Amino acid sequence: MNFQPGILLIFGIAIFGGLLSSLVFKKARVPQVIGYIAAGVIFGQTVLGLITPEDIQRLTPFNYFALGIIGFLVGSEIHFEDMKKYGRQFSLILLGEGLLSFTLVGGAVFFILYQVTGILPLALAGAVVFGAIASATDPASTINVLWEYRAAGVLTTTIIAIVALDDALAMFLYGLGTSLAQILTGGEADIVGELLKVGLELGASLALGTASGGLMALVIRKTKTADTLFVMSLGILLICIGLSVWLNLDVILAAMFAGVTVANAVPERSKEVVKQIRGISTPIYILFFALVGARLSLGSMPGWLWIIVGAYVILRSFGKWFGAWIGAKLSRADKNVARYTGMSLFAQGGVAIGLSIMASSHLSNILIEPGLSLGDVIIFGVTATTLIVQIMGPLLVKLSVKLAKEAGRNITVEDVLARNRVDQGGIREVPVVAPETPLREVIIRFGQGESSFIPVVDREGVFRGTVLFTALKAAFQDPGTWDWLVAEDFLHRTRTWVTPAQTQQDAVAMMDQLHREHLPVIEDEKSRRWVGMVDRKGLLTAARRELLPAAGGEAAGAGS
Amino acid sequence: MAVNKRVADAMALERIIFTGGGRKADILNALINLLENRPGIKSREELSEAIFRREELMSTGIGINLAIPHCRLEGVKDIGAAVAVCPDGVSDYVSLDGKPVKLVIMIVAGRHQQNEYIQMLSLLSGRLKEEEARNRLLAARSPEEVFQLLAEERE
Repeated sequence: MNFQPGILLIFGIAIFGGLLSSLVFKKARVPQVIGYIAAGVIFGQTVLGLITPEDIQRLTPFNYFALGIIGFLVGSEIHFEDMKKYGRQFSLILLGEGLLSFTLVGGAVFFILYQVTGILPLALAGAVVFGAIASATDPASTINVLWEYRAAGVLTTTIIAIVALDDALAMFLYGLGTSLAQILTGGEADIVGELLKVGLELGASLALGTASGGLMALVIRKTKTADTLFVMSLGILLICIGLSVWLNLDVILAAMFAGVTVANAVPERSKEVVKQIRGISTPIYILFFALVGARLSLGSMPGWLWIIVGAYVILRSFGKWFGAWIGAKLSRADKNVARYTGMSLFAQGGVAIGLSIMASSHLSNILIEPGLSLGDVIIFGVTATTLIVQIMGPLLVKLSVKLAKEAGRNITVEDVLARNRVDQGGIREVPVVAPETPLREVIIRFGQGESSFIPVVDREGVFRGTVLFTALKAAFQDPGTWDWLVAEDFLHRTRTWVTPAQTQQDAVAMMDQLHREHLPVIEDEKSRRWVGMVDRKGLLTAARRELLPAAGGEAAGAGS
Repeated sequence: MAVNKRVADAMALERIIFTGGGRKADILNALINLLENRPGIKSREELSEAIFRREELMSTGIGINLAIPHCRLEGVKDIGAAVAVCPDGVSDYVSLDGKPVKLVIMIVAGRHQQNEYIQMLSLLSGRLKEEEARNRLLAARSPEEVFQLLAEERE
């Protein structure tokens, strides 16, 4: 067996350190992603050197796994209904922010590289690659912040859609850029062939993802037990990730389309699977981001590269912000979308670093000065800017959703149940019997209702217990007893009840524990005065209904 | 003669009395006295309260000269019965058919013996639906005779 304690130790150090650091950052009200990355920077090359580039190299499969999980979860947030509704708006914002940051960063890099080297084709090549990478946004850290602050609303939907889509745009621009760069710098590449290759790659990723998602949806439809479902879905997702690595496709994109397909093919029933996959995602996220931080090496860079870094960060941010604003204005989007979308798109991560690694291998033969290739410049530049925007980006995402008042709006049925008391719309009046009610009448009551028990309440209004349908079994055989036996003779003294002041969540939890659909409600433990009944179905329906106005409010907000 | 084990187990010769006639409360108290020492019954008050509370809800005079006062108590493990034969009738025992109560069978069961309890009530009331069985019981002169008549297995 190939046992590698080194890797496991890195896992442990990165996860533990990442979480610890994020807790410190959380105290300072900074998004946790920054804490994970900061831990990585400390453990990595920049400070302690505990995690070496070789370790990171060995952990490449893990990174794909993490990117796949992230992609899947991002995809599962995309709903065709939103796309239909906001499709025009999304594409205009996407083109606005993507193209403007591409143009501004490309222009600046061209100018600086030309000043440094005086070689026009080299400056152009560097410009298009930097420009393309600048158009990408990191879905992982951005969405992590949206989740952390439970954001929901038209701005949140827009941000999710844009970060999910602009990786595809970045890859397209990158394919265009590198082939252009190779042609311009004398390498051999034909632009049509390169574009075809990129197109094929995107198409194949889409096909693989959709097929995996379709298979997963099929499994979800056929499988009953949640555990099996989770394991099978995870298996399918891993196959999807593995295949896209093997076929040299885009992992994020393929996994994302798997998520989109599942979330839209079986919208309700996929929620459980998505929830479970999200449940295991925290340590994966921590490790992934810690490794992003560890990969950064900020020591050995020439001075002019810092100018590129500075220009890149400033112009990319401006391009994203202003480009998104233009797109939003052109598509007449909500004012919060126009104001805040762009500034939520600053984070850059996996895709940018991935593209820079690819570019460095493509362009490592183009030397700027002895010992420094264009590939190195791109790697250094993207690494440094990633560190800066990864710290800045999540903070601004947090600020945007706070300013747009979308933080804390992503509430679930569980949240509503936890917030509402039993007496806030949960109590139903049900037929009750008195202790002296003759059995004949009790049997008629059972016939009229669907419940498996009837509460017994005495003349003083005190809840005395229940008559269970099963307890009547012995009496059914002898109708002669129906007139002289009374409810009291069948009384089941129960101590399972809830009071109006308890939360609906407590009530549902108790029903789950007892495998019951209903529970009696009494005024308080001491008086035991009868109040009514709660049932699981009613509580859940009411909670779901309560969630609806929030969605309606969102739509109204979009129009204002 | 075959014996219904369940009924036989619940009864005991010393818990069968002959009162001639009497008032309801006196008869019930006499039967409570016979049952108060059964295992699981915490106190006479507990039993008495449960029996009289049940009578308040609805009289257990079920008609056909028969009354079956009964209750379930926490802690009781085995069903116990006590019988009062009162051929002259219990004057104030309200019954469903208005006929005087002449036979009182008190049943005490455990709180969790729901099914056995109802089966016992049903068994005894069913048995005494037959007029002949009833008349033989009311004509009985010894506890042994009453025991036998109630516990004998019917075909």
